[in-house]
Amino acid sequence: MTPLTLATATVLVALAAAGIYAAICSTLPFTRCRRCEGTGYRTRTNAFGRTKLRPCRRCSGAGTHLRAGRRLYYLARDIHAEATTTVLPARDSKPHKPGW
Amino acid sequence: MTEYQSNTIGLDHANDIADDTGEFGEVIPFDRGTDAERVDMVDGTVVAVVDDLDRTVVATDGNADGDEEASGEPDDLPSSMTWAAPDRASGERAPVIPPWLRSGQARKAAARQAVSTARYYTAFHAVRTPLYATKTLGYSLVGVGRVTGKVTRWARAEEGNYELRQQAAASNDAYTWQALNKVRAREARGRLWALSLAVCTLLILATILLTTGLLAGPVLGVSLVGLMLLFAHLGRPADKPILGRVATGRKFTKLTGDLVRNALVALAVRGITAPEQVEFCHPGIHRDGPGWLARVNLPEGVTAVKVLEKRDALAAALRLPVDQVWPAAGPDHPGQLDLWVGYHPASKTGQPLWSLAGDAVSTSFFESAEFGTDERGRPVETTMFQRSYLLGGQPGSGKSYAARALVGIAMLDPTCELKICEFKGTGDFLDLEDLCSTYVCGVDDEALDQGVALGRWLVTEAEKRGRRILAARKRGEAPQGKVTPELAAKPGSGLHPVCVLIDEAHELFLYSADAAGNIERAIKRLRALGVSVILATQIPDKSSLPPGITRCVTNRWCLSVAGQVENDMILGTGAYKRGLTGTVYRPVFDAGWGCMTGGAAPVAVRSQFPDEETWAGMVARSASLRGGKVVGAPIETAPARDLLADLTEVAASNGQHWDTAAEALAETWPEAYPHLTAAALSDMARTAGLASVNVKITGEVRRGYRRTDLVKLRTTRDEATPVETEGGED
Repeated sequence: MTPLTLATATVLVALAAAGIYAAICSTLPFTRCRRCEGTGYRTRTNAFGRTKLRPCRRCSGAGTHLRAGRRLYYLARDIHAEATTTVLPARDSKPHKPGW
Repeated sequence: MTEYQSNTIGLDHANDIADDTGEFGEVIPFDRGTDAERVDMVDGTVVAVVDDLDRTVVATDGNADGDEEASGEPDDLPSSMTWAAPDRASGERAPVIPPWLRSGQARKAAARQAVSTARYYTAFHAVRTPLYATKTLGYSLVGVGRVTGKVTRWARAEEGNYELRQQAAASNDAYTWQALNKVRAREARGRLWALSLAVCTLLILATILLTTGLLAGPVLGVSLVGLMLLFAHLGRPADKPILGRVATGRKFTKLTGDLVRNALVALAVRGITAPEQVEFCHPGIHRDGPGWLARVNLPEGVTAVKVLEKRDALAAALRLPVDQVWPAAGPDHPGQLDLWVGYHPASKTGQPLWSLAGDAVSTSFFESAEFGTDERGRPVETTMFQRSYLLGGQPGSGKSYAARALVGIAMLDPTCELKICEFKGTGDFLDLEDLCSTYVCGVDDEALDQGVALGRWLVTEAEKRGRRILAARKRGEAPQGKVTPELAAKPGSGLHPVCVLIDEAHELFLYSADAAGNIERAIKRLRALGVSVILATQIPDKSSLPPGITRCVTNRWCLSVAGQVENDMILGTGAYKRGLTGTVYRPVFDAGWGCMTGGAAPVAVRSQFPDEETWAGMVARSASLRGGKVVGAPIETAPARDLLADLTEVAASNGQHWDTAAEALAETWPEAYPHLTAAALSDMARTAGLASVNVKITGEVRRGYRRTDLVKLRTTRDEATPVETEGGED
């Protein structure tokens, strides 16, 4: 296997993987939270050895969160929208009146 | 909007095909040399001459010139062939058996043409097969992708709440997304089953067919190609046809009711708000000449003029060039609109043969004759008697040729005298010189002086003719105080018709205000006296064309003009706003097209434009009708008189008053000084350098001239140019 074929194969595989990941991101935007294993809460042991439940901070207690790819896509979309959208200043609905 | 390849009504399909094949088969739609509606040619050989629907003459020798006799038209009939298929125009019926099927020769010609066309098509596409194959392959891949995507989306039931799910994901709302996804999944379950069943069935079927050998060899190939074509069709962009265009022929649009209604609504004319308001009159949209006629009743209270004003918008709404759309007021009431839409833009269609160009045709000054055609190819006629014409248009609008068409009518009346002044100086009417009693050509002072003399002649002629008519009326020969054809034909009556043409009239009017005044007076008085004046000008403004002339001219013909101002100067104020405009025509390309008022209704006319040979034939015919003689006599060039010398003649010892001098001059030399007023004389003298001062003669002090001034002026002039004999002008 020459280095060229190796590089080509790697690139192709990466492209395919990216495509598959994009498809997954599009059809299943949410994934199970790995921190809380989908439960939405975590246990915490205090100094006295007592366990206490608290919401998972990573998924805010939902048990699922957006996939990284999807999050990246939204980030890019927002940046683009912000850069290309002109926001006009709101027009006064009422004519200005002196305040006495 | 449906588009068809151009074809002529009811002609055989072989001809239709021939229309498309620009390279090898040639269709000459309106050959002037022959009398035919079209002549079909293949490889330079005439195969069929189609006179009208009932006759197809097959050329035997391939000689187009011989077909006039073969067409069977009597020679003495004026050939007023129009675009209109005769069966539609005059209520005749189309033949049961198409004409091309009747004779064996015609059948053979049609078959030959069909075979030749087929060969051409095959060769054309065969050469391009590799290109087509590549294109098909590429597009079919796209098609496969599209179909797969569509089927997948359907099977997964994505469409139902797709946007909602995306919204939930975007707002990081996992619960809502899950709920929505559950709905989608429930919907998709059945579809997925159906899809997998279908795929399995197909696979099993395919396997069976392949293994049993039913689907092998050519059948397999054909079905694969079919599949590929199907996918290519699905994957092909709408504007990229796979097959190459064999011919980029002209197209015509079939006018439909919806098209008309929507276009009228799109005009945003007040009152036309819904398509249903526009009613179609019997018999609906139909063919009329080379185009479609839609006669509609506009909603109550909307006049057709409102639509006529917006011809541009109408053309835009119909997606057609402006010169293909011809709205006109309908015949029944002001709210009726005749919308005529040509198969082709008027600027691209041929023109029917001029009825005056036929053999042995003569006209009469008192009867109407064709001088042009309207947008539908129908002849437009006019009478020279009692009419005067003003032609205006920018350079290249075809003024001279339009004037020529009008002169053509006068020319072919053997009793009509022609007087032509052409102040362009290029000899546009040189071929008519032998027919004219007066022919002036040039822009120099000599030519312009002759023009001035013509003006004077017109006024004296009006005087004379007035007296003759008065006498004739007393005898009971001119009941209405007008020249009658009988009176005009009477030898020695002095009332023969006269046609005066002044081309580039602004040159004359700018040169001499006197001539302008004379011609204005003449136009007003000579209307009923058998003299018709045609003025052609390219600068129709106030200084170069006196408004009095514009007002009293009966027929105004506005050819291509640059803008509204010029348009209204020719056609009258408000003409542009009423939709009468020559601005739609382009110079050179639409030469000869113009809007003419003065008839029953304003019409768009395209002047006849005979080719040189035809025109030469007409001139020769005119000459033979006149027996080689010139009707009328040339104008004696009166300005041979020396104004200063004459003023000396009529002066008293110290000078003369203008009014006395004017009277004396007019009395002594009525030919040279007709209708001379004191003001005019003073003006003429001032031009010559003679001052107007207060003079005392026989005890009265009035404006006049001094003899001393006159003598001094004559001496200096004689010293400066001893040979000059011209008087008056500097």
